[in-house]
Amino acid sequence: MSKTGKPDDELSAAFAAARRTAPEPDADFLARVLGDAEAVQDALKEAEVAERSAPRRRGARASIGWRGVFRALGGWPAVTGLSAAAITGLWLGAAPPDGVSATAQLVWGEDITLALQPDIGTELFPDEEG
Amino acid sequence: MYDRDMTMPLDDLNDVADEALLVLFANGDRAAARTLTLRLSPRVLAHAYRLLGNRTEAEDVAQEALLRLWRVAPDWRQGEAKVTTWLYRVVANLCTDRLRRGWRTRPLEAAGDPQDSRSSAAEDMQERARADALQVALRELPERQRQAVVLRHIEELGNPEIAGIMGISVEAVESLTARGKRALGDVLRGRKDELGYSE
Repeated sequence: MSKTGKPDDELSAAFAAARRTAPEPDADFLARVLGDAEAVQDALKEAEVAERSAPRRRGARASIGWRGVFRALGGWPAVTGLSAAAITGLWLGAAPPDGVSATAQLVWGEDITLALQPDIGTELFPDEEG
Repeated sequence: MYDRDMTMPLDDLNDVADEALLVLFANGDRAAARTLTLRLSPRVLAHAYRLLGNRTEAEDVAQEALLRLWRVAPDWRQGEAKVTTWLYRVVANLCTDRLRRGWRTRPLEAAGDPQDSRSSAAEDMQERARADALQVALRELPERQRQAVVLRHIEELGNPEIAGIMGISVEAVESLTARGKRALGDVLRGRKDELGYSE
């Protein structure tokens, strides 16, 4: 307890008083909190039981669809790799479709695109054409 | 696992860390629920009261904060944060929401009877007056200053933990507590007689 009247002493005494007179939870409050806790535990248990008792789809004919194919291929990383390989195959063909050019350019960059253009000779060696 | 009968005597859980108790809680252990309730409720309620200055509102906030803890228990990531740090943060956020809805204008409501039954009635009254005066002064501070001062000087937490709770640097905590203490001192100096200080 401060008797000096110094600001720090006053504050320290006030902080100590606040600690000593802290509100204590009463029985009603504790019962409410514990009631919440047990209700959440019951809900967790119910969810666990419901999950266990849900009909298993194993063996049933499930519709696969595009999402199933997508997952079966391994998700985005695998599909990205497959896309690159597919585009490579198309690009190396005799007549690559217009839509592939832009995509392949994005994947491989400018150098490869230039190397595979049909009119590359006229652009790089105009004298030989003329 | 979810039996009404407790799987462990309550005393056996007293030395178990909060984070481990939360795992038991998520597995349906009733004793863990009771231990956590008894252990955390006083701290959460006291902190909410110090930020709000109203017992009824503080109880609502404390109950809501603990309900959020119960709900997050199955997804609690061990080793990432202390349960108490998380709770202080949630309490502060809930209090901020309430204060922004106009709670600063409500009168101070007593926290309850003094806890120390050994002290005399006169000492109790003086202690209560001192704590109430501090509570009034705390309400004069900006929210962040109030939170930092309460965590540092009443909850007596270290600056690094306060920084973690408030999501700021240790230097910012030091600045907030220094300014908060100065402001509190100014307010309390004006109430010396009420606090029972002598020159």
